[in-house]
Amino acid sequence: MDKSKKIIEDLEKKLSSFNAAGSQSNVGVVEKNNDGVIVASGLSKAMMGEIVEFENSSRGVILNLDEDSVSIILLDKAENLKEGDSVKTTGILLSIEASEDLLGRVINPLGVPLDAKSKPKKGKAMPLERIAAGVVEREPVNTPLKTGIKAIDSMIPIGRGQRELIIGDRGTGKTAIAIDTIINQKQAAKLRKEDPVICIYVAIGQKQSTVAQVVEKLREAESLDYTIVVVASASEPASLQYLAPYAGVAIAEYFMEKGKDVLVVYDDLTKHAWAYRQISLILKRPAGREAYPGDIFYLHSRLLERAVKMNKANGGGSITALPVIETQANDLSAYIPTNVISITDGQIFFSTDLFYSGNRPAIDAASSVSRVGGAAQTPAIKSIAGKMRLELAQYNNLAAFAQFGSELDEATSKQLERGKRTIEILKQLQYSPLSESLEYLSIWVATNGIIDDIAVEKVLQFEADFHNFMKRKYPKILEELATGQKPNEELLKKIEKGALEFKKMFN
Amino acid sequence: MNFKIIKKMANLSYTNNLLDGKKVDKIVKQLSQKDLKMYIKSLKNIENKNTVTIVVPNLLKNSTLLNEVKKLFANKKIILKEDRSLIAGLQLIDNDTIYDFNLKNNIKQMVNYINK
Repeated sequence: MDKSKKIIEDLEKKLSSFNAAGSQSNVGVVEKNNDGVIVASGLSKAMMGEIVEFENSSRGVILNLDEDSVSIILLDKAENLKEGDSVKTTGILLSIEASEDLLGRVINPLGVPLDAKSKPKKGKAMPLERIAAGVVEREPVNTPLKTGIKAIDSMIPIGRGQRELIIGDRGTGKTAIAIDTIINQKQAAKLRKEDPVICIYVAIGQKQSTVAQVVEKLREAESLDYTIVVVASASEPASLQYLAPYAGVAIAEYFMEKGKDVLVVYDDLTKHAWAYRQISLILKRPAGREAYPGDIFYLHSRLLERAVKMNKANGGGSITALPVIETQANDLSAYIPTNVISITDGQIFFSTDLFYSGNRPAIDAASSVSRVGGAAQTPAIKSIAGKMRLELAQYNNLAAFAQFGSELDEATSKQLERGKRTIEILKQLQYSPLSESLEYLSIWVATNGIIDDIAVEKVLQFEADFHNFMKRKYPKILEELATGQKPNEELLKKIEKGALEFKKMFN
Repeated sequence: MNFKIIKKMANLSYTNNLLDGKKVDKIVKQLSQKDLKMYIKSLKNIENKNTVTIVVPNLLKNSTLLNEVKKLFANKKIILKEDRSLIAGLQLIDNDTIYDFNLKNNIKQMVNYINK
């Protein structure tokens, strides 16, 4: 009895704010269904990007407004939709319900859970399409986003609010870098004594098995708690694949508005461009280069422009974007790669040759660049990274000469030997991101000649043991380095002492 | 033939807001089968634009209300329909816009509101 009373009370409470007014709806009739794109007549008051509802309650989004008809892309699998069915506008622009409840979840671009867990709680409706923050609301990139990968943090640093492209052929470790970066956020946050950067991994057009592996890996690394996975797999309609990155950034904006730092990985935008090309061709939009529509540049620029570092007056949150692009035979001059390279603030280029010669991560330092990340690099890493980059560049030049086999002077052969060891020390295992202190120590021993007389094949062993030694014997040095400040003379001496002490033991 | 020309022809098929049989006969003879389809579609669109359908739950009980509504759409053809499922109130269908002022719609809105 009490239960039924409570239900009635709840209903009355809910209905107390209900306003019964007349309603107006705009209706149309389905004329054609072309591979998931519906052409409907009527709907004269429809808006671009508005959600429409069909007779069988399936939904679609308006993508084209013509004189007598509109083109709608389907959001559900609506096989039973037929000519003559009615369709009506809803007055709602496409949006996704975002809330803290999404953390740790795997969802599709419409917010529907794919992880067999309960439906996420209703949150704030965030529009998928939105104009990016203006110049007045922003501030320059000034805080580092640590990836935990020596080569990236030292040579191609990424700052919060930056757009850094990850580009390379298939199977060269692009996704691995993105996952490592997500995993590292936990460790980096612990050291900085703050909440981890919220990560959103958007999988576009990927195999379900690949996505399942990524989710599992994140779960194993206990990184799923601060991560949201948005999936539009290869089996989903092109419309969902097209919407996936926008859903990802809409969720990111929800957290960013709360002053939080967010990292969004778009894996990958090549497949996103394919999905948009498919939709555009069905919509009969004029095809341009490689059959992509004319607005393919705007498709990605308006997405990546939403990556932002807000100023303090606007909450101080940030969205860092890591878009992934897959190249064919290392061709950086193809249409989509050149577009995205020009939109982003730098690129990390993965080389197939380096990958197969055992240099992992296979980052081609010469073709990689970070245009704004330098400003966000900590003084500690900055103090040694410049020297290492220069030495590597010199090594690459000399290595080309050395191939002629002519006799080399002592200075040149010394430089070559150091270069070999520097390259070796930049190698790093997958899913093992390093803290800033350990990154510093690795680069320091390479650039200060400590490992010049260690055999190249023993360098990685030396590095691992050295890290353990320092953690055990000199934890204070690591603590001091973790502040990110440039080490003073005293600290440098301590590091040298520790390194030499360990070297004796290692030999 | 161009769709715009066919649309123009459909507009010209009317004399004093009424479809002119003679004009239609003349035009139809000039059209191919494909163009004829477009012509019929255009005529239907014009008819829809010039027609307002008023749906009420009971034709007899709502005569005063209907007269009021007819005044609002003086230039349009009015069609009256009965649909008892509306329970009370009325529904106006003006081309592709539907105005619902009836109890059936109110209940539907209420259910949606509770589900939200």
